Order: sequence, then C-alpha cells, then structure tokens
Amino acid sequence: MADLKENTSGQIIILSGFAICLSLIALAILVNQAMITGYYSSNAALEFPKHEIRDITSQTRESSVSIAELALRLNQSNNQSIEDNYRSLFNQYEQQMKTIYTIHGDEVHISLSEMNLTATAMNYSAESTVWVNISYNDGMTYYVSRPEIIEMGT
Amino acid sequence: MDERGQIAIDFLLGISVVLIAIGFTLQFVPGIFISGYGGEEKLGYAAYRTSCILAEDPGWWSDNTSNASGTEWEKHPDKVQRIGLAEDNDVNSRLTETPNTLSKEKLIQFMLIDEDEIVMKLGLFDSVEGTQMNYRYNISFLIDGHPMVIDNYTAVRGDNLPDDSNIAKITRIVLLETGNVSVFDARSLTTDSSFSEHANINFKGPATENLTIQITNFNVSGSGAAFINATLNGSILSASSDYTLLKRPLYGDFRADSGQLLKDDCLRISFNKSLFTSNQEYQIRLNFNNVTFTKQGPLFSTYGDNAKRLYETALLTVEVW
Amino acid sequence: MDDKAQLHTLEGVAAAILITMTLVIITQSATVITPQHEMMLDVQLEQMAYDALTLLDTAPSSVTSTNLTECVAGWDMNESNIQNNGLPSLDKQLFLLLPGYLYNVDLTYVQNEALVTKNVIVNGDPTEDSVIASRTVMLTNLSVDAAHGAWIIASDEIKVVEVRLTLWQI
Repeated sequence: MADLKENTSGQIIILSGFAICLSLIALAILVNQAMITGYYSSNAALEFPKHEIRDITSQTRESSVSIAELALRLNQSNNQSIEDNYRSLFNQYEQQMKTIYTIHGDEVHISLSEMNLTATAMNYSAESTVWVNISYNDGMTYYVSRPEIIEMGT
Repeated sequence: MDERGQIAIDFLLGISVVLIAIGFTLQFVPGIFISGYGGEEKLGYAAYRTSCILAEDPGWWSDNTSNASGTEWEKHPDKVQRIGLAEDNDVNSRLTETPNTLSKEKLIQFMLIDEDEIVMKLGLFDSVEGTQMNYRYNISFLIDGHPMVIDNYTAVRGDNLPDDSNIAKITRIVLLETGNVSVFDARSLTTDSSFSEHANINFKGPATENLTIQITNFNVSGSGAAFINATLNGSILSASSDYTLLKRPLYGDFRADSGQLLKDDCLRISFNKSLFTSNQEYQIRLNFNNVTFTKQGPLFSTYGDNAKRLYETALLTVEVW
Repeated sequence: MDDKAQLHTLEGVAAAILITMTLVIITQSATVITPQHEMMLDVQLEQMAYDALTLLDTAPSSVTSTNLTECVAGWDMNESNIQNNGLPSLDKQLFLLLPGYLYNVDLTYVQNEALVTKNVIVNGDPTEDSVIASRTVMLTNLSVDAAHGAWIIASDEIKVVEVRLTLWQI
C-alpha cells in the first residue's frame, strides 16, 4: 500500500479528468449561450409583424368596401359625387389608422391611388374597383403593397 | 529489467476506464446534448410552422407541362406543391383573405394524401448528416376535445402520442367547414296557413351532405315555447337517428337543449343525408309549440335558396416529437 | 517487487465519477431547457389571442351571433371595471373561444384628434407572461344604429377602433 501511495504517475489521469470536466462546463455554457441566442432570434421571429400587416390589409379591404357603400348612400342625400364622398371618408380612415398605429411605434401609410366607381341606383357595377397603396414600417420590417386592388362589385 | 515500456499500458488502461465511463454517461443520461439542444428548438419551429401553413395558407399546386397552377390543390392532389387548408375564393392569388377558415374539400384531401408527401411538403423531417430523419407527428382537429368526423374521415393524421418524450405542441383556433347550412329568419319562413305553429321547408333531392337548418328570430306567442318534432313528407322523424337538435342562446354556443325557446335563440337542426336519397321534392315540416309563423305558402321556403357553407369552431393541434 | 505494473484504477475511477457527476449536474440544471419552453408558451399564447380576434372578426353570421365589429358597435360608451363588464357579448364569446385563460379588452380610438383608450372588459391584473393582440374594426353610423350602441358618429364619418386583447394564463 505504501508503494501505491508513493506511485504518483496515475495522477495524470485524475488531472485529465479535471481537464475534461472543465471543458464540459465550458461546453455547457456555450450550449446555453447558443440557446439564448436561439431564444432571442426566435423571439425576433415572433416579433415579425405578421399579425399587424394582415390586420392592416384585411381591414383596408373590408373598410374600402363599406366606405364605398357609405359613399353611395351619402351621394343620395348630399350633392357631392360618389368619388368625393369616397375620398373624404377614405381620408378619415387613413388618418385614424395612421394615428392608431403610431402609438405602437409603427408607421402606416394608406393612400388611395386610383378608383373606378360606377353605380346604378344602390349597387356598384361589377367592374368597380379601387386601387390602394399600403405601406407599413416598424423599424425592422418594411412591407408594401402597391397597389392593393379591391373590387367593389358584388 | 526494462520498466519504461509498462507505463504506456497502465496509462492506456486507466484512460480507457475514463473513456468508457464518458461513453456510458452520454449513452444513458437521457436528453443530453441531442434532444436538449438541436431537438427541442427545431421541434417547436416545426410545430409552429406546420400550424401556420395549415391554418393560414390555401396551398398551391402547379403542373410543369401545362404551366397551370393555383390554390385549389384539392382538385389536383397529385400535383400539390404546398399543403394548406385555408379556404380561398380567388385561386390565382397566392394568398387567402380568410386565414383560419378551413375548407372541407382540402381537409378531406389532406386526410387522403400520401404519408411521404405530407412529411416532405410540410417539412416534418430533419437532416442528420445527410440522412433524412422524419419527425413523428400528430395533427388533429378537435371539437369539445374529440376529433371531428367529416364524411366518415376522422380528422386526425399521424401517430398516437407517446408518453415519455419531448413534444412540441401548438394549438390554433380555426373555423372548419363541416357541410352546408341554410339560415332562415323565422319571420320569413313559410307555413300552410298564417299563424300556425309549424314551418315548411322544401328540398330537392338527392342530398350529398347532411342538411342543416338554422332558424333565428322566433315569434314566440306564449310561455313554454318549444320545438316539438319534425316530419318529412308527413311521417314523423326520430330525434336521434334522423336529426339532431342544437340550440344557441344569444351570445352563447350551440348546445343540445330542449328547454324553453326564446325569441333570440338560434335553433340548428341537422338532418341525416340518408333521408333524402332519391331525386324528388321533399318537404320538411318543423312543429313548434307557442311559436307562430306568418308567411303563407305555397311557394314554400326552399333549402337551396340560402344554403351556405356551415362552419364550426374547432381546435387544430399540431404535435411534433 | 515490481509495483510499476499496477493499473491506475483508482485514479481512473475517481476521474470517471468526477466526469459523470459534472455531466449530471450540467444536464439537470434547468437553465438549459427553460427559455425554449417559455418561448413556445409565448408563441402559443400570442397565436391563440390573434386567432380568437381573427375568428370573431371574420366569422360568418351562422357561426357567431355578433361579430367583433357588431360587438364593438354596440358598446354603451361606459368604461368598465372588474365588477361591471362593458361588453357582455364580446366577453361571452371570448370566454367560449379561450377556455382556461384570463383576458382584458381595451378599445382605442381617435376622438377630437386625440387618442382615447377605454377598458371594456376587465378580469384582473395581467401577469408578467401576458401577451397583447390587437385588431382594428371600422364603425359607421349605420353599424352603430344596428347594434344599438352609444357611439356618436355623423352620417358622413367613420371611426376606426382598435380592439386590444390582453391574454394570460392563470
């Protein structure tokens, strides 16, 4: 046993054990770091404004159609043309959307680029269409739909 | 004696004990490196991605020889490029305006499509050193916690869930097309003579899907108003085998409820399609108590006049492991 | 006696135990798994919130008795608190779509060129893990009249309202 104590050359093994442990800990820290970057990058994927863009386009399509109905109705009661009524209502929509999205720090521009509105009595003709430009910018993502073609005819 | 050569063999044996121990640990401590690192993150992505494609995309098909393409891949299931279930009314635009609203035809094709095709098109696999390793998955459409049955297909694809492994799960709320419905306002439903307590609805057979009639705005004429029964061409139908009755209170959800009928309740009656197999005119009569209908026939309300697609709220769950 | 030939077994075993213990401690430490898990929960929660709003906004009338626009149009303009629910129609439908979750709903709109935010459904204070989803609706004179709401909108005006849903799990 005494000889066993004196024989010290085996220590190199336990030393290498220590070395391996240290490298494992280093490795684990690296793995964790990779995970955290993975977490942040997937968080970035989460922050891709998919829902906002979809909300803006679908709301604009929906609103354009109901604004057209309202413009037609107003045309019956006031003496402005359908186009003028439409422009005035769309302008309100544009301003309010812009203000609401500004508080999220997003820049939203919706503008009417062209329209072809022909109506008989209370219905729009099948080829009635408006062309709307939409752009969205939240600082990271820039989305533009130019033009968004919205058909009024039913 | 020359002792120098022995050191090598001692060292070799000692280090092999250590190496064997490391190998043993790597092998038997579960979840070390492999599933803890690459696996879980990728699984989560796979589940999220799959749920998004299925719920929000209408899919895409294309044919290289004729250069035809569109989102109506359910009509060309062998040429599908992307599997998406969202309904789309413009097959040429690549997007749908109705995400989360799923088409029945697409869903049925999704149930029928080849297993390899699903794995490839939805990307439910991982490449490990050049070899393809398929994930295992379970995609289910649930109503009240149970898989839906649509035209005899149970809306579940994939394997049964394991008890003991890391599962990435994403649940989506979707609207599922389950058939068709004809929605009536009770005030415009026809009856034989004004103020009688029954309504007549005509239907031209044969039926390919179950008939669902939905009625709102009842003219309740006294307390204890209720639906009594339904007859088809004069013969009384049985409440469980021939039709099912659901009632929705204002702002509520459809439930099996035969209690008192209120003005704002919505009644949904689904008739089994096997009742309407021949090519003839059928007349369904709905009998009520203390509910009157004023519009007098003939020229009765017909089912086909305002038949629309019937949607039900369901949960789409995608689980990947 | 020749003791040089002895295997360095004890050292080998000691090193093996050391390595095994390190590995076990590293893998058991929760930090490796947690962020991933939480991220998935966040994604799930946010997705559910948007799904619920999308569904309520786009569902055909055969599915919901009142869609999101109609619910908002019918608001009585009274700010609500935890006892008093401002939009029972929306609350009941959200409750059905999101069982097991808690939520608050705010409405944001432009009034006299200033932004106004009002609580309409309050179920408590959201926890740290809550997510926010929003969807815009557009009201007109006609839709407010049809839903018997208290919004004051002239016949040649429209009002864009943002419905903000804060969702969390108990």
